[in-house]
Amino acid sequence: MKLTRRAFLRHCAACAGVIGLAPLGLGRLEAALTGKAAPTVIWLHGSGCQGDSISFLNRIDPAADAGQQTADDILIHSIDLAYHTVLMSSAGETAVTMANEARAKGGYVLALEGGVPRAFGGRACQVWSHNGQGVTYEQAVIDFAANAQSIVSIGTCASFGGIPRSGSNPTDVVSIKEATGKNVINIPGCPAHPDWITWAIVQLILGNPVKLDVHNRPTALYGRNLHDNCPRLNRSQATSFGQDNRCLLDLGCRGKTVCSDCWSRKWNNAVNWCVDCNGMCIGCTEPAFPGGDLYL
Amino acid sequence: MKITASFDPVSRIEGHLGVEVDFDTIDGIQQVVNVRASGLLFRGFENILIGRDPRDAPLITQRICGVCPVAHGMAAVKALDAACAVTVPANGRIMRNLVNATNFIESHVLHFYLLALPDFIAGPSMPPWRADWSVDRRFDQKATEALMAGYLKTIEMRRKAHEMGALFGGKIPHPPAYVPGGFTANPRPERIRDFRAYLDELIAFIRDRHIPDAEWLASQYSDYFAIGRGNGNLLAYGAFDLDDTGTRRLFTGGHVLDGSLSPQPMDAASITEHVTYSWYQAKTNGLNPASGKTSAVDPASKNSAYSWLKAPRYSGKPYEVGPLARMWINGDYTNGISVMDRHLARAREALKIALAVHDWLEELVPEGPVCNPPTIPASASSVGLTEAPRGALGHWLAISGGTIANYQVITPTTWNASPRDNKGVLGPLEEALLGTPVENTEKPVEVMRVIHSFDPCLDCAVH
Repeated sequence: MKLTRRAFLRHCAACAGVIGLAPLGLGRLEAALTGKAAPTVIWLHGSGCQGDSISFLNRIDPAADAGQQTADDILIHSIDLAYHTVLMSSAGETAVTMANEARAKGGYVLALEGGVPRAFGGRACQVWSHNGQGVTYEQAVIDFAANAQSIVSIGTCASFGGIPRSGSNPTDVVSIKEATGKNVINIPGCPAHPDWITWAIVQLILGNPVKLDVHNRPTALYGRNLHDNCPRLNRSQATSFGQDNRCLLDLGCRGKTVCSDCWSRKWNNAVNWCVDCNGMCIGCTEPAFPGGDLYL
Repeated sequence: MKITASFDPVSRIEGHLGVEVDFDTIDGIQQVVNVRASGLLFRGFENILIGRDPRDAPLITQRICGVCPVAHGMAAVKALDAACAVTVPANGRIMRNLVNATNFIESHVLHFYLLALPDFIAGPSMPPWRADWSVDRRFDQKATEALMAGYLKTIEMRRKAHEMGALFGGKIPHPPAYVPGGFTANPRPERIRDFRAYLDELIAFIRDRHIPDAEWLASQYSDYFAIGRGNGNLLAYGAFDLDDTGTRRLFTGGHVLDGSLSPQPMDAASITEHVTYSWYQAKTNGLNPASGKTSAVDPASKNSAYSWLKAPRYSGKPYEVGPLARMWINGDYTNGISVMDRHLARAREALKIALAVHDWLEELVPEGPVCNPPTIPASASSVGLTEAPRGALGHWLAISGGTIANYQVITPTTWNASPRDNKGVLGPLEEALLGTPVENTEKPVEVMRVIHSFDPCLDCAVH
């Protein structure tokens, strides 16, 4: 088996996750990328659980499985994932140099997973060491945001602070938008759905205008209320867990205050989603998540 | 001549880990002579939980880790079951085990191919594999391509393991189905059928590819059976209850000292956490987690410390946890303790668990209940002991006034990657690195091989 870059990435959702473009037209994407240098993506991890990276690995384009030409066939030639600590081969200064070289060139998509802790001068999260000195995630986010063409906050921690910001907020976590003061696209979710991440990165590479709601979330993904569209709307109320096909509102389901498309997109290659396992929606895409007690 | 070098980040792990290593030449061999392993992200989950509804613990603590969330859900519901004195119906117990098992399988195959293997073979010459330490490569091009084909297949297989878990768990990472008293989803026949189809494919992959590839790696790098041993102390809490009382389990708990073949019973009362070299208040040193505290200090105010990990000790001693410890204590694998033994034990454990899952599917009771709704007591203290893919996992819970009064978590990597304890004794991973021969101190791939054999999960370790 001859391993070409194309053959490799075709199977690798971490790079080829930049897919799911059917509505946009492959021709337009191809034209946008032809003759240009590979768009660079730099992916940094802060105060989070890396669940968004793991979720991203669950991306599958059904068309690719069926052997059809897909957007990722085109894009996989064109993405330069310069830094992603879970996947990259190298460690230490070798890896940091890759990130810093990309930063010096500028014009990259900056994908940030995890909120920004500011306690202890930012030392609640050290992202790497450079020339023997520890560099805080807070400092790296500010430095890398300065040269970025665009910034995506991936997951609820990066978008809003998430669980680390809740309760007593022990490490004084803020969102990427607050830490940088820059325009960002928020792709919240705990974790973010792989399709949502993909969608956002593709829009940025294409230079498409993205309509955002007041929480900087794309309205195309987070524009419709979950409860109003729930397949269990108007069903009888569940009185305890383990009851199939009941509405979970009385147990604490937050669907009424949640805007996401989980009800139609579902999860893990559409095999299931929270409500269909009789687990209530806990509102993980919302700025207030996790907020107060989850159960009624 | 002694050389000190820092490697931060250690990549291909979960979370933020840096190591500072001293190299020196002893008896003509350049090797690791000192090491400090540092966990570099603190979030404060234990303090965030205080004051919350105890039932929130499974949902919140899963978010400690995107790689092994399910085990945290399991530990939390076990602590809650005990606090509420509720008995979980058979279907609830089995459904919990099934979804947890899918996470073990996913984690083990992901680790071998995506996280560990790139220390031994060159990936494609492109990002994020481009800047590669090409040191001590022993597979030829054809062999490398065969192993890389396994890497590619793993991307598909681990995704399918997650889909398998989501069939019952709702979604992965972070399934919402773990509740005190049982599980939320019923074992519907069409989902059992789909689950079994995924399982058969995964069993074949582990049996026909993962285990043979791990053995192939071990044959080419057989010197790594003598590298990375550490102190030889192994600990497991046990996991996967096979009856409603938890008397029979797929993995029993226990501990051994210095590679002994006679496991002794373990007792959670013998666990303490030290913070002499951790960024926490000195007055919290040496506490049992049932009364443990997490009181962070500014790293600048405690220069003697070097990690956000505490240092858990059993009867005052460091212990390695993980698949090798579980398989050793249960008599499934006793070949040795080393880098390659960890890989082989992990691969064989994946198959052992997957085959057990096959049997558990048969034990589901049609139309049987999955949950006994519990009553949360006004006050209680309890512990949920289980195993995560990377080793022993415990959640210690105290309830007062109906809300969480204290919550302490010790994860597998807290044990494995711990800093020095209050006697200055190194953590298991640190100890295992001592004496590791290194060819090129600027590209110490040998150091990474030892570290990756533990499959570190740093976001878990500090939380």
